[in-house]
Amino acid sequence: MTHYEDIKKQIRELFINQKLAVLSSHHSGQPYASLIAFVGKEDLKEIFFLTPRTTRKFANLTADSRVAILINSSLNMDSDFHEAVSVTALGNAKEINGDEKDDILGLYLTKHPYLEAFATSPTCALVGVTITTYVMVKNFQHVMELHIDQ
Amino acid sequence: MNWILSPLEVRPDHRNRIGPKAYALSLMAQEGFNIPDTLFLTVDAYNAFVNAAGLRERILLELNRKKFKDMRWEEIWDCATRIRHLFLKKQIPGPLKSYLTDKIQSRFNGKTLAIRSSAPDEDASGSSFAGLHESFVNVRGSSSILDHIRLVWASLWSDAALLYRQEIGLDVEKSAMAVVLQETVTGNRSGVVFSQNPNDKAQVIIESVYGLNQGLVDGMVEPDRWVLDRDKNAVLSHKPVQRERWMIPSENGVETAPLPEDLSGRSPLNSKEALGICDLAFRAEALFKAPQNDAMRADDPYEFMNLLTQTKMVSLERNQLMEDLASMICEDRQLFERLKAGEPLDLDSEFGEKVNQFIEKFGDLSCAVTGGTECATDTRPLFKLLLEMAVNPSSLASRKKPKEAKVLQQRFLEHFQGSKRKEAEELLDLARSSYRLRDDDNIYLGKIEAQLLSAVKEAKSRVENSERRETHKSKLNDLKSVIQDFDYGTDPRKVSVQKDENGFKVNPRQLVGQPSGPGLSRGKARVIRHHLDLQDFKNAEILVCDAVDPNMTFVIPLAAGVIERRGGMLIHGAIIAREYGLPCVTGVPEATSLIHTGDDITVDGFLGIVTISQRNKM
Repeated sequence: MTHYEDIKKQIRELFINQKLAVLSSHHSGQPYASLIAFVGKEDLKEIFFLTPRTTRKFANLTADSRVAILINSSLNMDSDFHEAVSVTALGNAKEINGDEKDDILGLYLTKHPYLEAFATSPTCALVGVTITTYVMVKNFQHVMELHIDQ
Repeated sequence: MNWILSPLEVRPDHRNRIGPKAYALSLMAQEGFNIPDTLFLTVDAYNAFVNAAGLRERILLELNRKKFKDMRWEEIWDCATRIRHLFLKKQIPGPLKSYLTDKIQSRFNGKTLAIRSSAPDEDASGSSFAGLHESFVNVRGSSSILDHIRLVWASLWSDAALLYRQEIGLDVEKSAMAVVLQETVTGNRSGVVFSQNPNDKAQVIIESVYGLNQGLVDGMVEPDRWVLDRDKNAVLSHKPVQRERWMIPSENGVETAPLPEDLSGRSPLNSKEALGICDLAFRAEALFKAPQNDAMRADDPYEFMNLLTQTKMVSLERNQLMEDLASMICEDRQLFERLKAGEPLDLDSEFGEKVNQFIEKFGDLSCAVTGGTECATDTRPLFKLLLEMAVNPSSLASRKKPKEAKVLQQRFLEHFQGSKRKEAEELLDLARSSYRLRDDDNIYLGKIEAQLLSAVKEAKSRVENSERRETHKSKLNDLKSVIQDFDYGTDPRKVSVQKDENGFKVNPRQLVGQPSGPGLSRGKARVIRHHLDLQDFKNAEILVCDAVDPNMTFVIPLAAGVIERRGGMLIHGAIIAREYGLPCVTGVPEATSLIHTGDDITVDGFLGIVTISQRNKM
């Protein structure tokens, strides 16, 4: 298996097995981290999450669309240090509206059906992050980057 | 949770907490066999130490640096060394230490002890671990006893033990170690009995020596050997040996010494005693319901490598001569300009003579050194490197560390007194000779390889000429086939393509290998995929290669660090990097395909990490 096939396979596994990720945004140089329930597209080119429009994270990504998202398989055990895989996705965020919103919400709610009421609230935004780079860390310090021509 | 059990306290459910060796001893004691005064440290004591010292995850991190099956033996050895070093650096935590000290003191009251391993794994596997773990004899004093307990625990992680567990399919990560503490019984005879000869089930074998049994099991003292008939309970044969040495207790441990004359002429056992031991073995066999073989009484883990630096090696002599030649160029502007312009060398000049002497001894650096099969035909590679060294005088300032090696040698030898001092000096000499041999032989093999490749080149040229004349067709085809064999194999120049059809491209950011030379440096990578790549080596670049051999390391005086795909502490790349005080990381999978020449990289020789900061855009 080539490196990119191997990395893509592991990212897809994280997309399937992990429900939550950490979103990093910033405002005026102040970094901010928040937990999000996410879904990733099969082609790995986009990650989606929901957020009320009143949140700090939504304000931040509206001011500067550059974000990072951390997804990892740690179990809060000692073995995480050598077994856990983590991926940091770098990209640009924007709110999704229009026709494509329904399709993506369908994908999202298949993974997070308990969030249906939240998702359909008029105050809730569906945010899509177009990924440019994944940085994958495994075996504690082995780091590979996957760059995507969007 | 019991950290210590006495033989009479042991129950069947303790077996997996004290290991089969300790369990067998407890059964013998409970059946009335006369065994030396004994205590068992359970695996709970081992686990308490490992947990309190924070070693469990450290061990897992070391074991999971890369896949075990992908590690060369040298890498496993390195891994084992680092884990054992962790054990030796950590003290036994206070409560466990007080508990053990009190128990040992009240039980043995200052007697000298034998401290033996007893790994429960042996039961799980049904395989013998004989000789894989450490045991110590004649250990005296609480502090020394606790130190030796740690040594026995640490021996769970020897390279041999790791490989063996892997081989028989045990989960190394779940291994633990119990310890047997026994009063040392200083009888003047000892030995081993096999109640059933593995090669002839009708026989019993007894081996016996004068002095401690460790002399026998370590192979230091040759034993007398008896063969007995199991059914008839009779001695079939006795094979005496030339008895010259015995192992005896010394001030802190054991030593082999000449056997006193009055003992050398007498067998350690007579026939009656041999038959008595045979009876004892049968009693044990009845107890265990199986044939028995038991012994009877009648902070930088690689600091030692620095001890070996400054060993006189051919590769270092060659590099010193190169530094001398570069200094001559540096001081002679005209010579510099002439060499730079590619003008022919004045062979009668002092420089010309020295170059000839160099080439006579080490070759002109033009021939294959990295598995390639082509040779350049002139001294161009040599002069290119000398010019690079001459324009970068900093590369000529010796970076070797003679003082450190001398101080370390002094510290090492100060640990030994009297005759032990001489032994230590001899051991150090032997280690240095081995170190030199390991390195020098590659230089000599490189010379042979260069001659072979010259011959191949000449043969290729002759084949081409003969083909034009169309003579000796069949012989020609044979020769062509032989020559083609030299070109067979993977192309070291191949660079892996890391982009797919959907626009995904992979770049390495951080690669993990083995820390093989401490230090940190940053520079441009020079990836050696073909021997001719070496002639382009620039000052302060980082040497990245598949497998460094001594024929490549003439560029080391210019290098800022070394990265190698092949792993191990005793490979040439690591040896030479230590000599020059360069950071070195070995065992980096796919180093030469993932890293490209011109990439900005950082070599962390403390952690064994290579970081690619910026890709070469070219």
